[in-house]
Amino acid sequence: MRKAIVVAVSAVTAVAAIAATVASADTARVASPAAPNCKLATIALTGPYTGPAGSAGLDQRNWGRTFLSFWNSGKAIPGVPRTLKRTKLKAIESDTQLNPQVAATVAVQLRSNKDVIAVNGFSGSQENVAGGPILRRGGLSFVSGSATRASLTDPSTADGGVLRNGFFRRVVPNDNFQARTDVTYMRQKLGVGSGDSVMTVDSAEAYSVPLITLASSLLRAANVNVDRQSQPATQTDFTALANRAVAQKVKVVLFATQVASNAQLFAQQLKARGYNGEFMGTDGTFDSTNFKFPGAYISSFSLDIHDVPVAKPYVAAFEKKYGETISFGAPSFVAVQAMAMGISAACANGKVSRAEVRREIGKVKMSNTILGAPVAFDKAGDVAGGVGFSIFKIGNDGSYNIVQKG
Amino acid sequence: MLAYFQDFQLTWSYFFDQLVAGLTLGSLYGLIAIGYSMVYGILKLLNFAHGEVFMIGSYIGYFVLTWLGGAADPKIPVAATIALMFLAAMLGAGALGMIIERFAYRPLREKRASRIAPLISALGVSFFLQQLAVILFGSAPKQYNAFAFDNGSLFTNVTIGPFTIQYMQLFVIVTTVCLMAALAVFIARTQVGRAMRATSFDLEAASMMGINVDRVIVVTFFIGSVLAGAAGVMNGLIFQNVDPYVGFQVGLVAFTAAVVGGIGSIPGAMIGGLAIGIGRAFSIGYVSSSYQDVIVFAILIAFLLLRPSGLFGTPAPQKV
Repeated sequence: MRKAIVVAVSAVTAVAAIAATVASADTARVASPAAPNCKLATIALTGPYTGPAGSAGLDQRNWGRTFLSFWNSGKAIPGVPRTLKRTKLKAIESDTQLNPQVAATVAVQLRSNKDVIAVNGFSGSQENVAGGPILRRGGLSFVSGSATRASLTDPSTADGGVLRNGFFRRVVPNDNFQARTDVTYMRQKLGVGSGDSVMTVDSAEAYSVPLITLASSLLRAANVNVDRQSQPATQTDFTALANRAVAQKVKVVLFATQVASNAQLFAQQLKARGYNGEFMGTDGTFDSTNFKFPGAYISSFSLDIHDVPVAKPYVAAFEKKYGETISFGAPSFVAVQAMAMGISAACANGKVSRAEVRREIGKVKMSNTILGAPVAFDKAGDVAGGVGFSIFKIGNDGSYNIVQKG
Repeated sequence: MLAYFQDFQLTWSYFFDQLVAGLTLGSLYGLIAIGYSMVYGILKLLNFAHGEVFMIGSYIGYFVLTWLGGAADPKIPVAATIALMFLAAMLGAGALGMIIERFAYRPLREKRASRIAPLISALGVSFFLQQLAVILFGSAPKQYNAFAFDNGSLFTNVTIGPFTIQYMQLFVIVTTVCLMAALAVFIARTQVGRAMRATSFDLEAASMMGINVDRVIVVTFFIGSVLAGAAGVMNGLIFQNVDPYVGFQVGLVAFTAAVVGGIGSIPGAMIGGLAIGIGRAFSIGYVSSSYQDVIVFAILIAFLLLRPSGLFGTPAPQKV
């Protein structure tokens, strides 16, 4: 009985302490409502820093950090007018693991953090589908450097309907471009014609399914026999699929995944089964540390950033601090740049709000970027600049060599 | 019905290719499933951390391979490299299994905790090991790059009449058969094996007969984990990748295999694993990869409805 009383008293004390803490926190919040400020504005960098796409996510984060170091130190950046009064930025970083549930949790945290006035991300399309509506409810604008799912900016779809009105923007072209680029390349350069067979494989998630669905329908429209397949990213046995591709004598295997090492594995298993056709990975496989199968093709919104003359000093600064870049993250530099320019414009009168930042980001026009092309946004949030999808071929030494510029 | 299939699907060589793919994958599932089944047979415990033991075994194999110069340029002969990978992974995984038993399960057993407590403990150990691997090894997949062994000769095909099989697939299947045979001999012919069977039959009675039950349990964890370690290396050799999350997914399928085979039955676990592996390969080969899990698990559910105790399991008597 005595023990029960002690437990009960402890529990009541604990609850009271928590309630007091919460109440004081609320009071503090009420006392200082205008947390965002123009002296040192806070943005969020998000990405899959851990998990199977960790290397791509860290590349994005490091490009975001590189931008901030150039921006805050007042150094020249392509597309930033010299006359622009820069608002200094600090960033909080959130790992989304390429997992929609985690992205949704991160979105709730960012929405609640009144200091945050814009978000870089989310990286994965499925993350935007899950976390985007939460950021929208918080009035936050978010700019992605890699989410390519077409429906995110199509207001007639459920995804685009939720994210409309300038909440979501991206600095990369959408998958409609990618699917068309891939299919055109297959038909014109890889000799895929009427009556030939192509195997198309998605990874059973929001990024790859619509992309492969569109590519498959474009191929079918050209009278190509399409063997449409799907294999979750967690499953790394591609042997049965490889057997199927070899037996059908498919001319090309088109594989969409965000786990580049799976593309390497699939290509190796195809070769081991005696496959003689071509292998093409989508932009999610653009990772030269994990996908380096000689002869394979990759489509990517990103050029090899080492080959863009205007990017040289930024690549040098990046690689001095973080080691070699895989190029995947370079568009995140531009995404954060769009946010920074929007925030600076919003801060012109010394005050800033999330709504103002959202409006100003939509007006940003970069005459040039480190991607070697101008970037601006259309009404839907898509890039209206000149960035397209390029096709690369992997050399015998694992290098990515551009064979068609976007 | 035959009109549904395309011409290439109606050849024997294609059937054999998919069968071999299924046997290879199923062998790995089976080896892991045995660990689940052995522990359940003796302790009636679902050791959900077993998938992570497999994952750690796979990492040990990877680090030994890296230490020995990597697949492209090993410092010692390829056979010796692979043998050392197996040895280290099996011993390392075995030791890990014993540590898990000692610190996560035995204290609960000694305190006569409810049956749900070790289950929660098992899940906790599973997540702990997963996150530990993220911290220690990073989250990006590590690649065995086994295709580089001996200029890819391990992945060339052996032709038997109209059929072909890769050396690596043959290696996985033969190694699994050898490990199964060794386990069968150990259980049937050794004193410890007899003690394991007695403990599995009735733990309390075995204890009263003078069997050191704690020792038997430790040996059970060790053997199950050794097999998981071997499966981890084989998984790395044939499917190349290891990452911190690989154990959870594979472990779940292996656990299903153990249930299908009749949990507690060692041959049942192996056959359950092979059934799932072959089911997956044929689903991909003859229907579509999009439906592989739906087809395999629908069949398994139907099978369990007909035979709830699994293939080799015995129905538990109801005491009234």
